Amino acid sequence: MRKKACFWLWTFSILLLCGCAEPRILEEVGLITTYGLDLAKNGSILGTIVELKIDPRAAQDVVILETEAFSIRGIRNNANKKSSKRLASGQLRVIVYGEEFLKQGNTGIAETLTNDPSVSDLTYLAMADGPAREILQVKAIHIPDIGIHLFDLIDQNTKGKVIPSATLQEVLHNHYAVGIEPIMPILRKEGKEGIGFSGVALFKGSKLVGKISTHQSFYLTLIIDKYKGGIKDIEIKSSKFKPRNRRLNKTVASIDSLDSSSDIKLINKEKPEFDINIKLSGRLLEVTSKIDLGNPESIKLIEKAITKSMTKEIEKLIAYCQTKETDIFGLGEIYRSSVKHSKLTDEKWYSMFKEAKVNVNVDFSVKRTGLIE
Amino acid sequence: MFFKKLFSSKSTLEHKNMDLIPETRDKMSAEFKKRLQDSADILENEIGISGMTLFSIGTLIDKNMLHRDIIDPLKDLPFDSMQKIMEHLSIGEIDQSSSMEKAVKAALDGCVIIYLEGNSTVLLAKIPSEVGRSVSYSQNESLVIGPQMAFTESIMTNITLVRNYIKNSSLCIENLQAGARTNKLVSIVYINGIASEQMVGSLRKRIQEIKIDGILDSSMLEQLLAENSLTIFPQMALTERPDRVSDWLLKGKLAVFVDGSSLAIVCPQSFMEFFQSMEDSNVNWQIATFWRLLRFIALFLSVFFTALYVASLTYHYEVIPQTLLFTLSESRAKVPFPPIVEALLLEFIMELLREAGARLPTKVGQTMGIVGGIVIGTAAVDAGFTSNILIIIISLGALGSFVTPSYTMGNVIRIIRFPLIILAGCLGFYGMMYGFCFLLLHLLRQSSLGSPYLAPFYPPRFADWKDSIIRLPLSFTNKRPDLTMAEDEYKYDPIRAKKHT
Repeated sequence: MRKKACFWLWTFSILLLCGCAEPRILEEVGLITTYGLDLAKNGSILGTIVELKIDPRAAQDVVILETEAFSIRGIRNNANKKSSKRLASGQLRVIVYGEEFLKQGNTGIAETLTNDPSVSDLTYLAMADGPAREILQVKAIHIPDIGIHLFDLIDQNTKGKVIPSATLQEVLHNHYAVGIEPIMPILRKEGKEGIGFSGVALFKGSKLVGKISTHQSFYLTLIIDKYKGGIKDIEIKSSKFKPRNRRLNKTVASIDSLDSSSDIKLINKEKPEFDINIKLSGRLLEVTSKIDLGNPESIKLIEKAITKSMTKEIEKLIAYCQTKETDIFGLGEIYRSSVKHSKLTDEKWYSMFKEAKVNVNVDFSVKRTGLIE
Repeated sequence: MFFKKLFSSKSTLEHKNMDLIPETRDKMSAEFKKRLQDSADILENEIGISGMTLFSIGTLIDKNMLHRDIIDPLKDLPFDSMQKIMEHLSIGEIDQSSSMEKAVKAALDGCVIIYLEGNSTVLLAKIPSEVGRSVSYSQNESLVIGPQMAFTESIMTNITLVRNYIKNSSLCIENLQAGARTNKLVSIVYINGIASEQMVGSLRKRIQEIKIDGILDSSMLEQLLAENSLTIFPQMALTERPDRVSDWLLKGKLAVFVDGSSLAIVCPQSFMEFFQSMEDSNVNWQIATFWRLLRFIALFLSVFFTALYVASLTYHYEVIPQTLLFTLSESRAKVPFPPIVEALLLEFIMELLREAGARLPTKVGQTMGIVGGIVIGTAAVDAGFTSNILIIIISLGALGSFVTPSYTMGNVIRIIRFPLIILAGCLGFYGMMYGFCFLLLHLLRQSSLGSPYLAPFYPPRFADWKDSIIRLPLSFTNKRPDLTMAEDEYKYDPIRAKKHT
């Protein structure tokens, strides 16, 4: 009897809790899909919010609100004053940072956002080449909703491995973990109506220290990720190939179905020395020079040339990162996991990484040349 | 208290003296009439020359048989003993009794009492009038592949049907009576050597212990036999298919038939078995597995889909996929109610339509479909009453509940949605989980004739999973389910079974 009474008491007390749950009915909420964060003049933050306000009677569903505040939460609160629906960030997909905002460093890239349980860990982060508000203010006929357009743009290219993945979770992890630094894709306004990727931003802690081009980011992906079915044009610098086109003074090989795997090993613990072995295979589709693809000899020649040019590019990328003291490859994590009691700190690794020796071995093989042989 | 009085008065000594067959014809006639409250349909035929009298209830006997098989052979002959009368009768079911009580009961069962003055016993010749229908198609559990016969209201026909499927000498039929006033014949049917003796004993005891004045149908008896009369879930299966009953008997279950009912009770029954159809055994195992998974998905859709809609629209807008955001918000924009009111309203309309369709005669019922289609389908959305996405969800849920092969379980699924929708509307996903956990715990606590309700999943009996939510080929499932605690565990020799596979 007592048990039963207890049960009913519980049940009813749970029903009494109903008042405590705060309903956020879909049509009463203004959905923030994108945040743009820039540095304002007086040290405050200039926030640009893309709000999705769905109304079948309205011609446009997207509202862009700009406010200034000293905190990221403050931006939302201030923007609320301009919105007819209560703003909520549960549908946040993309956060775009202005270049200046990240250059100053120590901004706490996105910590405050992770305190909000409704913000997804899979929100994409990106940096604008210039102010973020310019990207969000792009108006074009083919872009009815800039928030969704940006999300689809980043999502599609991340999944296709054109740019490295930079979700909130990944960036924060790389930021806090010792021995790896965060990266973000760079978005650039192209002309009046276009937005595209211009490269990848490199960070040291939370401070922007360098940029690499999209061409280089391909090699970055080769090291830190796996390719499955990618496409890439690779420049070959070799005197053995004669260009087909006289005006083009270089040879380009087009490879598709690119499969890659990489393996990083620490070979010297005292003076950090790493071996990066990259295995790569693909289908050779096109070579812009007069060469007989049916000849196994010439295929070998191409393989050799591509291997050489790739090795060079990767070495160049690593050297650049070393000068900027940013270990985006996560070599420090490998060092930390292979050396016992290393007591590695960020500061310690910055200087160690700069001095580290990295040997790059690329193994490229042509699977076949085209589908019809 | 009333029952106690009724039964205790029976055993008094005075009553025993009253029970003897009266010596004279007049006394017998008076006693018979008294016991049947001087009913207008009492028949009393005096025949022959030796003072033989037939007592019967005219409405319960076959009058043709009375004349052809009893009056005709006896009318011109002199008799002095019961033995001699019996020799002249060509009736199959004939009995002798010296108890008035038993004689009257037999008369109520369609017997003619043959009374000979000076004898302390009477003959009871059974010639009941056949009221009822012939065996027809199964309406509520129809199959495409498989036999089409269904039980009728006559218990004899029903047992005949089962006997035709299981031609085995160990098929046991135990007759009991239930209902202090209706005196219904209740039969327990099982296969001796397969069915658990303990279960037979406990079922018998339960039927004997029922104290109620009248049982009219087996569905009523099922409610009285169930362990937990407060739960919404059915604990025993009701079926109108003789092949289904036979299949279950072979698995070691027990069946209960009630005279006058076209449904057999089968127990013990697990929750999973309510989602199995007889047709599953009649088609290939791949198809059967697909159907069973389909029904299981339908169960979840039906119970949780509307609640999910309410919870995500009221509290968890984060989980709505981006592509759905537009369509959802646009259809919701015109609706003046919060999601919970909208959902309850539409579910209510759906239930109204179903109930109206079930109660109306078939010819009027067809118009219900049109009314429902127009009212719900288009007008409600045009009027801004509900969003069209909710209509899809509600109709999916309704469809899902009708997929369940068992009608009783289908009703339950439709009803348990309502508390879940309310919980979802009050507390979001948290409330839904609360409701789900409550349901799960409740199901775990139920049992059917002592067997766990969630078998074979809890307690886990992996061997029985082969015939639960999936169905493997018949050659894989030679073991009887643990649920029934069968005396003979294997359907056929396990060593030979291995050769089959």
